[in-house]
Amino acid sequence: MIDHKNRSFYRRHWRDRVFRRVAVGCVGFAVLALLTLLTSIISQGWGAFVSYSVEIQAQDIPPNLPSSDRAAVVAIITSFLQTPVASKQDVIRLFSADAGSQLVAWLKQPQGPLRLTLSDDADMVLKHSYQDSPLKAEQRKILNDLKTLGVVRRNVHFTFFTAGDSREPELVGIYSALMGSLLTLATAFVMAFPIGVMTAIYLTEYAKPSAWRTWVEININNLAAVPSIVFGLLGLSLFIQFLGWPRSTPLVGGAVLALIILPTLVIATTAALKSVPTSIRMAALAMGASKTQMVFHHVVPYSIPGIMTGSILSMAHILGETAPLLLIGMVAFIVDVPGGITEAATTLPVQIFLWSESPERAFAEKTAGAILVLLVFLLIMNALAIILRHRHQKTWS
Amino acid sequence: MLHPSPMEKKMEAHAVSVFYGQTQALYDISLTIPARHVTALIGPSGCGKSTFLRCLNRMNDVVEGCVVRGSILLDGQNIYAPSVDTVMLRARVGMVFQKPNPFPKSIFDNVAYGPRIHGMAKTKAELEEIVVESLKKAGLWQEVKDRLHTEGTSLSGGQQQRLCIARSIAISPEVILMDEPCSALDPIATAKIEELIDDLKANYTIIIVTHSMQQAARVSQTTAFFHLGKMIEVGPTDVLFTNPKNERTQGYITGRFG
Repeated sequence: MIDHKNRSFYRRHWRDRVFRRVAVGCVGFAVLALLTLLTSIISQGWGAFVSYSVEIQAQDIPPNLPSSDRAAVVAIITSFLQTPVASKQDVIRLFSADAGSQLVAWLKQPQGPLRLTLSDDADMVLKHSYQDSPLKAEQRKILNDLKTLGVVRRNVHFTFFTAGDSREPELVGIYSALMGSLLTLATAFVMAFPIGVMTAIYLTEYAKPSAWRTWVEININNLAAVPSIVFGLLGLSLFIQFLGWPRSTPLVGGAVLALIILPTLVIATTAALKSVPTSIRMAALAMGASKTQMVFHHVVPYSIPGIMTGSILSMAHILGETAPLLLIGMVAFIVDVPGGITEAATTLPVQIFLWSESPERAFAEKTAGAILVLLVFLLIMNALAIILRHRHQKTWS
Repeated sequence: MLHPSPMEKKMEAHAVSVFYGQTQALYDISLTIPARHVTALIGPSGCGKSTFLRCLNRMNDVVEGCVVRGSILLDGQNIYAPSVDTVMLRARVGMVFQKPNPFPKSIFDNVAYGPRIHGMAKTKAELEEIVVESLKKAGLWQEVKDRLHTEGTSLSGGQQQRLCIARSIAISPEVILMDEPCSALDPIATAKIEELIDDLKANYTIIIVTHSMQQAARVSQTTAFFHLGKMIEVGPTDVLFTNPKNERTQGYITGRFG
């Protein structure tokens, strides 16, 4: 008879409870860390998606504007405020460097109110009411006056999604970086996918077990653990110096990223192929299928969901890759959308890196905003991978 | 007695020995398989009966380090001769496995796979005819005729096994090898498969490996008893079960070891 009241009985249950609490504590900590990260990025980055501008109705714009666009902006504002201002410089510096051309464009086609984007410093003061802002007291007064007159408006900052890089934080956008990322990722996928999948098919289905195959497999696993910056160095010496491909381009970036995901892709594909049970292979062979028919009629089609999941996850991995791209010169200042894979480009994470180094306070929110966009893309890709895996899960009899 | 004499020989094994690396799995097996006849291979686990079965369509070729010695004739031709193509051999000698293993495709595509890769149907109508005919022969047609395009894996275990039989007879093999086809099935599904085997022997030569002596007695006309890699005794099923010559055979069929 087992004595149910003995000490070991209680100790077993005690251990059970302790283990469960430790595990729950770990999960709680992980969730908390994640929430902190998200809150911090969102609280810093929301400002990237809204901006302040001044809207002046057509009837408030005086006739006979000065010929210089910047002087014209000052004339419009001073006439609207109806109070003399000490320095014209104070007024013009409240507005973005783009305000002059905004006025010129509006004068050509005067539809609706004239909208003038505020400078990053004015924008930041309106968003966060900083006390240590570089704005002078006079400038703050002008801004306040405009605010009380009700012409300062908050808008969705579409520029952030349609523009390229700029020296002025209020004019920067992620569009060209996003396009650069897209081109680089597409190049990497086109290069790595066929090679990776064929390698995995050969190694798992055709290669006979041998010392050579083991050696190749071990080295592929080792390559997956090599720091990505090493691949950047390899890309620099191989693609740029030896092959003479144009630097800073999606072509070189894609080639380097392809090298980085190749081992991961081989490992994911191998796992997907190996998950097809032996019984299915035997069934195909016993039907008189040749080895290649067995592989391409059965094993490969049944492992496509696994291969796709692996590919998407490796794409998500290189979407955030920065270090190797710095080495091959994708840190360029890119204003325009790259027209092809042989034109200079930058990618989203590199753009984030560039902005994070800028001293202007407004770049901090642009950095966080770009990080949010990057995270959204990563979430979409991971969700896609999960959906694919669930929808196409095979049941083997 | 059910033995028409002289019996037409379908397959003959001569002194077949099988090695897995250093270990020998089969010792000098010589056995004649009569045509349109059910031959049962019985014996305790690990006796080599499945290994022998897999020699008959060279499925052992895919096992790493497996060496087969001796010769196996199909209609008088050695299937281990260098000129023999395993693809052609397996089209003539079909196989049904222990665990039902339909492809994760529709019922139709499961049966149509063989005819497709062997180019047996020129038109879609011909292919459909082969599929329907095979499903009818496998006794599955009535149960699946309304859902030919659902996944084969959605069927019950017994239906899956009959689907696998339909799949292998779709390419009109001459011999069907069955490796414990009922061991994963319940008694009702087993009875259906046994009935099917009885029907199929009119057109096909069947070799069945089974753990169940009752099954061997019910479905086969010839039984071979294997033990520790050797074939101990072979003879007409009724004789082997009622009057075994070897004492090990007697020991096994009376349940003294197994």
